[in-house]
Amino acid sequence: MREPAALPDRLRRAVAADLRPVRPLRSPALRAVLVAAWVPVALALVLALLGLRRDLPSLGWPMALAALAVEVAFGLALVALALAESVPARGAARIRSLAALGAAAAALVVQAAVTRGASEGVAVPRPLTTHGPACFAFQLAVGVPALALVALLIARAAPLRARWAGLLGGAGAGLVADGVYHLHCPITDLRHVLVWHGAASAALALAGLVAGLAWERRQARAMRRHAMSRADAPRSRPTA
Amino acid sequence: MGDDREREEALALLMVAYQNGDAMAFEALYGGVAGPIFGYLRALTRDAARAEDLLQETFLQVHRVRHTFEPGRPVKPWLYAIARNVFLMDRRAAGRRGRHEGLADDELPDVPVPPEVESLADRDAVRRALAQLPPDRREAIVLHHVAGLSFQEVAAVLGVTAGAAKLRAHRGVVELRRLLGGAREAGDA
Repeated sequence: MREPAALPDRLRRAVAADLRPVRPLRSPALRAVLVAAWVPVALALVLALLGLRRDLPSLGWPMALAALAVEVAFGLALVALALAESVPARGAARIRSLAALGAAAAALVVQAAVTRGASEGVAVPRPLTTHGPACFAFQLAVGVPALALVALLIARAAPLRARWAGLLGGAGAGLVADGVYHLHCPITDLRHVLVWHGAASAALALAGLVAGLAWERRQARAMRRHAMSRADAPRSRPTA
Repeated sequence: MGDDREREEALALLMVAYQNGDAMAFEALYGGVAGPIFGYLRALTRDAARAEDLLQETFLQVHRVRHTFEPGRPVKPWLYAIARNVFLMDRRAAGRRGRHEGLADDELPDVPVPPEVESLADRDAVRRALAQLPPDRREAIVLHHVAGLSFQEVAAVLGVTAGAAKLRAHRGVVELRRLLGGAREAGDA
């Protein structure tokens, strides 16, 4: 057994100054449920303000709800991964996170293809430009509150690789938003779906990544400040 | 093995007491893990003075994020992950400040020696060889062979799979043996 190291006075004082009891964070899966609570709210808002997709008679409720369920489930799984990433030593291996991102992107593409197979949707003259920017903006509006919620939950923890947590959380929010907005947008043309809806999901993932990078920069700045302030502090070397 | 589990359970109890506001538990926790974490930071920085600074910074971070420890999960990987992040942030900050890594050729690197390879050569030779390893391999060796973390725990600290952690440590030990073999042959000649 190693000899106990002496606790430096500066550290003892810092700890003594704030020793209130803390409640441990709940597991990432349980915290992801908080983000799931946004889904019914977003659905109610989208359906109340924009209405149900007009091709529902040809698509059918089971297919519409299945697509919603699959995307929301993949999105929440990514959110749970992001929340795990925000707890020290809880994050998945990078290769597994990448695989999860790939699976989520595949889910988006498969959902679009299956929906197209089930319904021709509403035909628009130029699927790449008509309605695209509006769908992009509305889907972002659905996803931003989810992303904000994820960011809040991540910041409440201690993300060590914040860029990864942000990327996963942003992609999760993007997928949830795509699933919800799927109940409104009746255009099934793959060019429209993959370019505009895919871009909205990608934009949210990118926003998460950028927020994570900003968090890491803030941490590095705090570290520089601490390095300057501890330069004069007396040292007591622990026994290794 | 049983000792390790008992020690881990004791650390987990201390951690929970600390989360409940027990200052003595924090002191005991510090006493129990500061030494090994200091060794780990020394292996990362190869500089004892800097490792001391980072050790304090690590425990300040531990204090700030103590609510992120989930009772029932192992304490050591959580602590080492925080220490590693403190090192990485400091390295990034040092880069921006214009301080650069690197040791003079005649400077003896300050790296803890794994017991597994201690018998292969004298401590200074092992330390020198260890310092020559690529950082990811050195880190895996120190976490597994010196700090006593399982490969699953090493993987959690490094953010890789357990297989990748094992491979890094294995390749590191093979390279260490090769370096020490070369050093011994040079000494014999």
